[in-house]
Amino acid sequence: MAWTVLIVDDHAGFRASARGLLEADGFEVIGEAADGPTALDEVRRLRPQVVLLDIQLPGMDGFAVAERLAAEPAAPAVVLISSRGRGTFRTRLAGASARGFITKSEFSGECLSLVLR
Amino acid sequence: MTLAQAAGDLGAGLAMLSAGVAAWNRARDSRTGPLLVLAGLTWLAGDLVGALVYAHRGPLVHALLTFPTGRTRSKPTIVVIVATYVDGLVPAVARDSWTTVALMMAVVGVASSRAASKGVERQARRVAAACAAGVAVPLVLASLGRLRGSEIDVLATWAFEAAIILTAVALAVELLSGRSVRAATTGLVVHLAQRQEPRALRDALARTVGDPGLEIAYRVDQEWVDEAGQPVRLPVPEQGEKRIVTVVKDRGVPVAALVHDPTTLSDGTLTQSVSAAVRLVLSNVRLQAEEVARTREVAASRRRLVEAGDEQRRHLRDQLRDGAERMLAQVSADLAAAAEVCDGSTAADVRELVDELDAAAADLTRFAQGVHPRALTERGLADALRGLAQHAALPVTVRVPSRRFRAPQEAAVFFVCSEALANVAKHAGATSASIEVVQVGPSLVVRVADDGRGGADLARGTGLRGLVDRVEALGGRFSLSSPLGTGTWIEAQLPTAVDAP
Repeated sequence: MAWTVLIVDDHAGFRASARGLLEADGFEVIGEAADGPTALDEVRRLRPQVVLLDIQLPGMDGFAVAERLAAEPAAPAVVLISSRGRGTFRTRLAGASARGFITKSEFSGECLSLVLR
Repeated sequence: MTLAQAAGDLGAGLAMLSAGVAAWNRARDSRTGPLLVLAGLTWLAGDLVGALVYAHRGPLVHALLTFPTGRTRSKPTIVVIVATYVDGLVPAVARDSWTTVALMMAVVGVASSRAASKGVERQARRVAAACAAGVAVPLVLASLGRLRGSEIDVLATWAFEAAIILTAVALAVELLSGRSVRAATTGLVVHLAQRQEPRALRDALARTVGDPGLEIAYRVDQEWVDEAGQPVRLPVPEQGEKRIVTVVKDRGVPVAALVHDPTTLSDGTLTQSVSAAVRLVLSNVRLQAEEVARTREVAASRRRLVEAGDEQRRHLRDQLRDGAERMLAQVSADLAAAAEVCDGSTAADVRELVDELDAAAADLTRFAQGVHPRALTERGLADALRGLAQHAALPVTVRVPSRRFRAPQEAAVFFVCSEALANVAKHAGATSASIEVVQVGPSLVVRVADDGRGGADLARGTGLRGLVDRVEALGGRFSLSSPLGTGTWIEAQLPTAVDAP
């Protein structure tokens, strides 16, 4: 069965592009959110299996959202994404409540599948 | 007002009104129709109510600067439209010549800027920009005339009314025909149906949507490939980047993806047309992708054969050294010891036997070195080539970097030099030769030259042909130049990248 995904990014172009690519690779994108509070509401409403979560969100950043999501009952798998490389967030990624991290320059459905495997 | 002037005035108002009604009725998703109706009504109302004499300017400019949708999110455009509504509703402002000049220049500026932008609406925006200029010029000329004290109002009014009528007709025709989008998409599909070339699809699509940087990828066997069938990775936009990816589906199945400016491809008709066009070329792309995959497999297979051959040569050389060479050396030593305890002619016979045995062992060692030289494996290309030059039948100069390269490349360079020098010795009648090995960009280049009689031919003899196969199997190129009387020059270029075939 296809993974259900919620895409959280404040860049509408990224959300639209990622949706198309993930759906082509067999994911089911069930929602989008542009900021942390909306993402938390959408996770409670839609119950996605995976949350693709941008780190650099306005207001509440991706790490804070991931922490809140981890405390949810039946917490989804969180995969963090960013335009910046892993090195920028090395310390915070080590302690993050996330399944993995993907840079946007490497993003693809196949890459997300590998992280979720 | 003369009868002719009254007729012109009425004609302009009715033209906007009727064009607006027609557009409103048949292009319901556009607000241009209601705006033209409003412009026509206010124009006619201006004849009855003096305060409304300039009120048509607001909706008219609104229609021109938002054509063909009647909507805009551009802040400069909104500012100019609001300013025009205010100007039109306050006659004291509208009568001011400098205000009119400034406002009309702003209108033409915004209209020109929209006409220059990308997108499928570009053709429609160009029509609107031409109309805006046609409307603005008489107003500006009349205002400038008033400022200079010359009276050209009558002429300007005729020109203005003519521009209004032409504008109403042009906008309605453009909107009702949907000409730009339809012509472009129809042309796109027809063009591609005739040619079925993936490259033509990209070019035609880029022209149609007005986005020269548009890229297209095709979905083949669960993979994105370019028009040549090569796998590609589609870029998602990063911070500050605008280009987005749109996946085109055919009956729910992804068939292509477009990387494009977000302002393009917002038209549903166009997206459908792209989907149809992609279907036409997809079979060709699939064939090319299969061909690319097959070519890669063949190249990889050739490389594996060469590498396996080298490995077998190394194995044979080691077996000769550990087996036959060592045994011959032992027998030779034993016989030499036996000769010491023999008498007279028997000892002489045994020593002769030892000499023959040593000569055979030396031949075997040379053969083993030819199979795969130990120096190449253990000390690298530079030592192996210098050794080769020392044992050559003529003086050979060697220029070679001391660093190590990957084993298949080192072996290929060595065997190119070895075979070339053997050919020089056998056929060239040369007095000297040279070997040069250099790294040029991503390639390892080896050149072997002699001053012999020339005339070497790749078609004759299996030695050179074998070298060509070996070099090409590693993704390299082999060149030979051997004009009669001027020596022979051989060059092989080998890629040094780890992922070379």
